[in-house]
Amino acid sequence: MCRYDRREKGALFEPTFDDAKLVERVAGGDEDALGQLYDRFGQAIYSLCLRIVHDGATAEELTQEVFVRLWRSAASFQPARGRVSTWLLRIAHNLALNELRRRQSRPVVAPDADWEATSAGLADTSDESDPARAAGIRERADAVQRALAQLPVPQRHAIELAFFGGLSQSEVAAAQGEPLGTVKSRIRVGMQRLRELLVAAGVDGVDEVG
Amino acid sequence: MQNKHIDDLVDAYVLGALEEDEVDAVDRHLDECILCRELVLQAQQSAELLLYAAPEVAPPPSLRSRVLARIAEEKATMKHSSLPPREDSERHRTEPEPQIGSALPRSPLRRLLQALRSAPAPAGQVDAMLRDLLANPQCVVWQVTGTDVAPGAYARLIASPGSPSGVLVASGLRHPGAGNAYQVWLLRGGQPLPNALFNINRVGIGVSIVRADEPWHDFDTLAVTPEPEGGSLAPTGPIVLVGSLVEQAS
Repeated sequence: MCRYDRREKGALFEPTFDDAKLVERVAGGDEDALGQLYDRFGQAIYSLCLRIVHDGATAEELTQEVFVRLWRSAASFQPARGRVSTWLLRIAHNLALNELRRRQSRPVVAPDADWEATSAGLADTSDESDPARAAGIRERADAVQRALAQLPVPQRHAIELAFFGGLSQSEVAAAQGEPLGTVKSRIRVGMQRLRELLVAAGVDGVDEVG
Repeated sequence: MQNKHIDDLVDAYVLGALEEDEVDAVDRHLDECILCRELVLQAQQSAELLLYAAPEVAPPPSLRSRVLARIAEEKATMKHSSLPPREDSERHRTEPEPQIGSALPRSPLRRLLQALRSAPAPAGQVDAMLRDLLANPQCVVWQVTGTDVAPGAYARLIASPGSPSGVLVASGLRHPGAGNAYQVWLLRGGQPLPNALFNINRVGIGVSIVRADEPWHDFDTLAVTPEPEGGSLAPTGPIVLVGSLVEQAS
């Protein structure tokens, strides 16, 4: 995304300690631990990949690749730098955007009601015994999705086209048929509003992880 | 740009939505401006939460078993390609021993240990390995220096000719960028082979365990590049550190 990073802040929901322990076991060659991490985060990773590449078979391949990379580089994970889920999702995001660029076919259609209709109801998020729910990732996802849904549609679409479509502001402007200045403003104001909503939802805390 | 704050670009920057020339200009400004760096860190927090914003879609149930089958393959491949213990290796017994590492100077050793203590790496594992290596009279040290991209950086690779694992201690590196880590490459016949990933601490020090699936002297060069987290199969970033594995540190 950019050169400057930070230590991740703000863990409201996740028992990150358990996740980090699982990664430590994966680093030691424990396949069962990797299976448990799949149970916790496999669906979120697959969903993110699918959101970006819009193709189930490719999303499955990318999900596999994320876990292969976890297997190979688990020893490099540093709990102090953030959550396991964010680490894995960031790998998935990078891989999926690379795949998009490789294909040189970007989804320049607006992120849309069609997508939401397609995905609605496919995942049952009500099961309390679900490992992903136990890991807190569902609550986090729900809170972020709710905050995003409260943004005015043009702002949300501009942010989504940039983040999930890998588009620059100029490309977003072309996709939305708006002047570049309008898109810049939508992204800036939209992200500011998103921050406020996330803080109000308690997702944007201040505690260091680890 | 370098003297002008970049608050109006921060959000597009963390979303990856700036043009390349804008990114370069922002990076140059951030190198000098603590205030804007803090703004970026805050914006990054919100941007990373977007990773969770994809509507949930259940993957096919068979994906789990395919993932685990792929990992089992990886595990089998790693076992197959790893070096046998030295005493079982005819090839290792017949190789001439590289010069012993008694030349490891006292002050660099002290610096290495200091670096290790302040590094964010899997310190327990590295610490034990480094102690073993330094206790081994056959320990060798290779110098790795920063390229034009990272002129202040340097590193040392400490290894024993009989062991497939060595420790790389790097200093003076800049942060590799959000979503990136540094990756080590061992070059054989000019061909880069992917190796360990590592991150650095706040003062630019990183420590990593480097594994060689062939004797060390089969490799001619070690290089380090920034790569997407999780690593790459072939280098995609600029080389920041490079060193010959033919010559040892004096």
